[in-house]
Amino acid sequence: MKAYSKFLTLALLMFSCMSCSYAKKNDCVNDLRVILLNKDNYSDRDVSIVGCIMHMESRAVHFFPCDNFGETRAGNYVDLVGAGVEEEMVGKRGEVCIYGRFRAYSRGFVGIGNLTSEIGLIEVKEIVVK
Amino acid sequence: MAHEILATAAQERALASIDPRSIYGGDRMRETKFFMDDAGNVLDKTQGGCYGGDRCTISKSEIPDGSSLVGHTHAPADLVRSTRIRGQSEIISNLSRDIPGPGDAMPLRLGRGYPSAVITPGGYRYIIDSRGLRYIGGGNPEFGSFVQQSWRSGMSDAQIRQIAKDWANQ
Repeated sequence: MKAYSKFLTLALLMFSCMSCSYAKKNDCVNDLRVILLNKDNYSDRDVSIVGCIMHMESRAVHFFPCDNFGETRAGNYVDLVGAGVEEEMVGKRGEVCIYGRFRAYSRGFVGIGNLTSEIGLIEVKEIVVK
Repeated sequence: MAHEILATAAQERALASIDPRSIYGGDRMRETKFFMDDAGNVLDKTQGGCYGGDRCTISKSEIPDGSSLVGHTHAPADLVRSTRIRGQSEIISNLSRDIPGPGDAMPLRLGRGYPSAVITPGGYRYIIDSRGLRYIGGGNPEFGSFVQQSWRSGMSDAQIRQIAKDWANQ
């Protein structure tokens, strides 16, 4: 009986995780362009944003609108940061959904070194392949 | 005409002679930011907002009163890798860490504007202010001067790496 109850709990947990991930994939509809065009409206807010990622040689990770993927103008991408974000990116291709906190660059907050976006960064909490 | 943002002579002297170990924070794989006053005293340092790979953010609110220069260290080279036989791309990668990053001029645009200082794993020290990038000591002076001649604000990651390649191939 005890083993059955454990199995049931585990199955319920797995099911809720799967549906949670499924819901997230479908919730993630905002294109990165909305941030590129209105960065101040999104600053310091949690966002779920669709785009494409590129892992640079310098270890920087840039996040582009998919139809302008790799366009190197600094106003056309945001920087991605977060614990282990570089490792998560390796091997990922195509459209992804990024969940995290967006912070706009301004005269009061800048990125240096390999953070080169003119728009801002997303502190990544989760990446879901669409 | 925009006002000039210049490092003081005392800051240059302090940066040229400072022991980088006195700047480094506890996490060797992450950068450390530091803030100097006009006389070259380090008022504060922090690893907050640094993610490794020469990726830091700086907020105006974290700069102590009295600071007139914003500096940062590059994280030391990967200690495990440095023990292997190194290929050309790894040599380029390590050389690149001794060159200021593409966005290292950004403190000039922060608030009222601050000169930017960089201390690299090879001990190179640079200042970026309204006069451009200046190598002020440490490491191999020939390489430092080569970087001073080649580096421009707004260069891409690939262009910065090209400086390292050009040096390695000459």
